[in-house]
Amino acid sequence: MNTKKLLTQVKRELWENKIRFVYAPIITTLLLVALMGVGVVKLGMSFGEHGLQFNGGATIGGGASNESRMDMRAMLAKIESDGSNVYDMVVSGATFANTSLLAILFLFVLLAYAHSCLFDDRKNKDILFWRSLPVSETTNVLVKLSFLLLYAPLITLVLNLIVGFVALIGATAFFSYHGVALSSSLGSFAHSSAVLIALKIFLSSIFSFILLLPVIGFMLVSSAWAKKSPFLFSSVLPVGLVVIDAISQKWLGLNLHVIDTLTAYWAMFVKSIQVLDLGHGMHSNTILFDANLISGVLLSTAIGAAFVVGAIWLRNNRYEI
Amino acid sequence: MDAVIHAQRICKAYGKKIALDNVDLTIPAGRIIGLIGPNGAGKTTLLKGILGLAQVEGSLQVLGLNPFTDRVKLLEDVSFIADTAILPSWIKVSEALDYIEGVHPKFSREKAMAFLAKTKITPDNKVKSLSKGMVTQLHLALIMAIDSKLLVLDEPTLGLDIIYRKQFYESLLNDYYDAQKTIVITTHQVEEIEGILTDLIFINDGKILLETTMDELPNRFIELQIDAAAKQAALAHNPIHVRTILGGFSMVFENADVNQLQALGKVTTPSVADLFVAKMQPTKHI
Repeated sequence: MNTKKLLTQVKRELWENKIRFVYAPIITTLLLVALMGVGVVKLGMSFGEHGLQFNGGATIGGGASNESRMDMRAMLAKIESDGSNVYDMVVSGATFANTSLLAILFLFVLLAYAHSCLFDDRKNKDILFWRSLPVSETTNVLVKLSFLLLYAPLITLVLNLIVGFVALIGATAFFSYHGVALSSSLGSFAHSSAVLIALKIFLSSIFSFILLLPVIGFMLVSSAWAKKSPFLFSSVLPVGLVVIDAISQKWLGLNLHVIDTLTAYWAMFVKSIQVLDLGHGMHSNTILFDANLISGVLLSTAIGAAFVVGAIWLRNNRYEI
Repeated sequence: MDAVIHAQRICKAYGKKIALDNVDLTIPAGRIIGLIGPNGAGKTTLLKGILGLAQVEGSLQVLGLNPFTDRVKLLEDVSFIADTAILPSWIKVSEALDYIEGVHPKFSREKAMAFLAKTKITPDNKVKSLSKGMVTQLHLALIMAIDSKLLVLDEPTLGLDIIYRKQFYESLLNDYYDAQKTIVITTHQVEEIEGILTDLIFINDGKILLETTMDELPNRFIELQIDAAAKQAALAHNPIHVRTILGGFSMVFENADVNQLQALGKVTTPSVADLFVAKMQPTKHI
């Protein structure tokens, strides 16, 4: 594939979806950073005045500022002696908060994008312009698929690194203000795995999106197929099949395996995520995939790929509404 | 010179409706062809087949390629403007230029900017802020900046006022067309393009009714205007179409003896519009 064409297609997606893919995630992260800033100021004020409850109820700090500084050093030393790393705690808190906010945002953004990306240009007839240029539908669909699979994890990684960096700087400044020596902070940072947190979230989310390939592929087929409402098509069809299967099982004793398949897929997805230990990913490097799980993952990937091939076929053969 | 388009026994049906019925067509290079037909005649279906937008039965080669299977390669040498305003409304002029420059190996940004400099369109404009005429100007500027061998225009001036329509064809002829390029135009405004065509194709009900050059047309078709008294004498020469005009009749003949007809009344070459009506509604005797 021509690299220049691919990059131009990527640019096209960003131009067309500026608000979804560029402004919304940046604004979300900026809001979090602003909230973090407000939180740090309030925390500092609270620590200076009242101290912080620590270690089962004992309060450390509060009162005169010299005392609060000494207690900050004591608090950090206590944290470190328990085996935790204060920077891990600060960065993971900020990173997971940012990831959670972006996950909610991207749930809606990607749902809307998956349903509209192969539909809107057919509805508006823009497709006649795009198809007047030497770009194949295979390239077009694969670029959109890559946005669905990779963009959210990538932009989340970048924004998490920024948030993590801001949290690091903010925490170091906060500790410095409260009397912790910079060398001590840097020493603590050197032993942290803070830089890996964003990367582990990125890898876990990539894998999650790959597991979601059947769902994403089905939404692309809906987008390429539907004449009126892709979302209605992609939601009514599976719900309808589930209802028919339930009725068939209850009244006819005939198992159409729709419910079984969806249940098995969901179980495979949940187990795969658990195996990757998302949420405890800071310290776990063990992956325990058994043969059943691997075959489930491969099968779901194959089904997802088949849906994508179907979407490409529809775009080549049935592009008009 | 090899044919740009070579079609043999092309068929296409949509359910029970036959859109193309055994169409044979050969279009040489360096021509400006008017593809004329009423609504539902099969013009757009034929163009879709030529552009690889729809699969057709039969043998169809465009620039030596199968347009459906080799569509991407073909589009490096073929450009088209469809009949509706199809530029994405969200796109900026600069983004459209960047995009085409990125995907089309034969696009010249400098040429496109030179064409746009003659208009009021600026790179920061979004398509949705442009009038219909300006959108067409933009689209034409983008297309004319591509060094393609075949240009297909399907009702390109639909909905435009007369000024934009005239500018459109003037730009096409003066700034784009050369002996190496072939242009296929479909339009209902036949009178506008009559002066620029080199070849004429009539299509109706999926069949080609007429395929001729504009040079050949006066030798092949004659329009005779007569008084009512000469009607029977003129009918004896088997006109393909008769209509009433003020004070008499106008008749169109195909491959008739001009010397014999001159004796009956005023002989001229029919306009493309009159010829079109004659071929679409043959032998309408009064």
